[in-house]
Amino acid sequence: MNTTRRTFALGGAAAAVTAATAACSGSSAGDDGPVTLTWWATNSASTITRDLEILKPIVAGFTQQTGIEVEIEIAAWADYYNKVLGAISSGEGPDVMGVGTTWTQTLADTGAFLPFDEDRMTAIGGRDKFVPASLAAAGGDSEGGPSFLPLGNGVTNLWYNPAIFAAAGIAEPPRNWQDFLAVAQQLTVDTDGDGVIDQWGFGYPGGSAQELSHTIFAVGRQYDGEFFDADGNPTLDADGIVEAAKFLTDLMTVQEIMSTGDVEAVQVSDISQDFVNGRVAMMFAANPVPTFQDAGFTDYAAGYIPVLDPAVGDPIMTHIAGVNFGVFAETEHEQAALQFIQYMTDVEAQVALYQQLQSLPTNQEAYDSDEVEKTPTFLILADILANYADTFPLNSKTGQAETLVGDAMKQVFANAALSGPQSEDAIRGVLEQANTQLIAAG
Amino acid sequence: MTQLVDRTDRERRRREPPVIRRRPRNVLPYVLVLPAMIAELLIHIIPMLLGLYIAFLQLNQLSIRRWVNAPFVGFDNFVNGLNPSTAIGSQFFGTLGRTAVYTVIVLALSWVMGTAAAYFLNTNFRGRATLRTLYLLPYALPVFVSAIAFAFMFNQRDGVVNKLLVDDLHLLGDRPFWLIGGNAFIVLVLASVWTAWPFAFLLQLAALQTIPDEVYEASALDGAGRWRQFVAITLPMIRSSNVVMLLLMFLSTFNMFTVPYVLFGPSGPPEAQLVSPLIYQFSFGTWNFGLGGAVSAMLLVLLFAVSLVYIRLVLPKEGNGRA
Repeated sequence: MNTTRRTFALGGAAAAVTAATAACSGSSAGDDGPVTLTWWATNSASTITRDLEILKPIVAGFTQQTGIEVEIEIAAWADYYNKVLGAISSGEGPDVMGVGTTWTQTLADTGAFLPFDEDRMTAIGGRDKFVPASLAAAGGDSEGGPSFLPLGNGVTNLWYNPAIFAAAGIAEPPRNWQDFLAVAQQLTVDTDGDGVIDQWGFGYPGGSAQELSHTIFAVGRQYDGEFFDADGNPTLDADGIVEAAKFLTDLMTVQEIMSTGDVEAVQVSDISQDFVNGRVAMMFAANPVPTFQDAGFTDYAAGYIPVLDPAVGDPIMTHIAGVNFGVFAETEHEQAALQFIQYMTDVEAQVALYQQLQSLPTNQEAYDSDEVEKTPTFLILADILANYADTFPLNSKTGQAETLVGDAMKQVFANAALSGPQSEDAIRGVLEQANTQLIAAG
Repeated sequence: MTQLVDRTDRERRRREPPVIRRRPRNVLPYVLVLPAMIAELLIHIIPMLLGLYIAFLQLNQLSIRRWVNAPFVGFDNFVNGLNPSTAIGSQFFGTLGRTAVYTVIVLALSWVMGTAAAYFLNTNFRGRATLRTLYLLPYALPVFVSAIAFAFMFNQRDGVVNKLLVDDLHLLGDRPFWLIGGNAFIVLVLASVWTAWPFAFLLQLAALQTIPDEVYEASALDGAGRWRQFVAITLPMIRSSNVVMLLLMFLSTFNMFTVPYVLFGPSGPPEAQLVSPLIYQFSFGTWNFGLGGAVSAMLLVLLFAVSLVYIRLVLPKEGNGRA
């Protein structure tokens, strides 16, 4: 009967099981000995090993200044959400925890993180040092102070292959959807004449629920659709979301500028690989540069995700992505943790993070630093962050909404790949089911 | 004189109440099972009881930190998850039915393959040991490795299956999708059978080796062919091992999580959705741990009932082990 029990334990005893898995972390220090902080950082470089190579020298500066040691544990994104959950349910976690920007409100509502009230905000250098949009995306306007502060930001933007563009006589990347479709159709070609298209104008990971949730958030905003209404009630099946979903799936089935095979691409790196191999000419991604560099690939340039012209909703191209971090409420080293957060959000560390990880600074002054090279890519990304990015909804159910709308969109893309263009009613049906589940989540 | 003393001594002993000598209790068996009992408690029993408790709570992100004090909601989670007229309930029952069909198919195919392979490898021939080892290879591989290999093989664009069917043999015009839509169920079954059938093979082989050769020789003298021998001798004589094996395989197949999770990711195609990944989705996808707990509890009851009936009806009674 062991197997029966295993199933029961799988879902039912989630909290207990995750509690056990998380019990191995935590701060360590005697009252008299030197303080050692534990920091769960998230994977930002091409590999976890590379992350450690980059972060250790940055953190060494903090240890040199304060005598406080920092033990860094890099977490892969895939299982990180459940790991955070385990830490929260068990109370056994690191002193400082990095989290994805889209989880901000859901995790803040657990009460497992110390709010940055006025005193704590002053201790880390004040709220004015942050880029306002970055701080807002971390819940900066929350009553009683945010539970997280922005460590590094990113945006999802267009990446295109200038060599392919030049060969086709296209001078500039498109800025609106009409131009985007025209360019993508021009670049979707059978280059070797075997009757099979081997260069697609656009590539997209249609099997990645996470990417789909982020894209439908942004394009949904362009169609005036939002995940939650003004009262905070879920509206995953709003008209604007349905229209945006239809527009996106039509790129594959009606416009035929992306391969139906992309519905089996479950991560951005699958499409990045196609981009490197010349199979796709344009893609949307947040910082695929490390992947390009690892492959020795140089034919890439940044652009803007297209917007509707004329506009229907807001010209939002992306959510404000990246990493926020907070102090775990169970920490025994609050002051040391605050010192560490101050250090990591000051100009020096922010510049280093940008130089090493291409993470957009969240410190306002860092943008004026001479050490931040104002490359064309940097200027585009900074412009998107400042003008065309918005905070992923700060609602208690955002974490669940992200999962559910992503799963629903994955299903819509799969349906389109299997049976052709999807009607708005069919798409609405799938999104309605996701919305029902979100409401039932309580 | 000596005899007198002896007699007196015997009489005295007879008069005295007999001394009951207690055997020192042998604690060794208890000591030996103690680690297993502790492990069983920690790994299965306590999480199971906690899971049952959680099924009666409204446990989500707001209450997860102090989950022991989460609001008690009685049977709300059971009503929500098991009412077929709701979206969640209909999804659960649809998935339950699909899982039952999947279990029957996987069990049937695994049993046939395992039994056939064991039957033919139970005879002496050159290369038998090599084949036996080869057949056990899928069992030696971690399940997730096999599932990853299947995901690669059935990839629509670059998979070897479509290359074979479309490019090499020209049996199909378009490259079909195998990991989404209805075909996903077929791939799920194939990958599951691949990982499950060596277990059937192993147990059947062990059972077959307990059948004396003389029985086959006697039946051969009576003119029985191999099929007749298989039906009239082999199957009845391995019945006791068969019923245990089928029960074990039923439970592990019904609860299958690894293969669909690795093949399709956290949210698989609806056509290949099984119960265990659905519970995972309820619990971790939507942070609705109460609902996940309630559905798990119902599944436990269901599987326990099925197992109980099976054991009562089919499992050989003591002393009746060999038919």
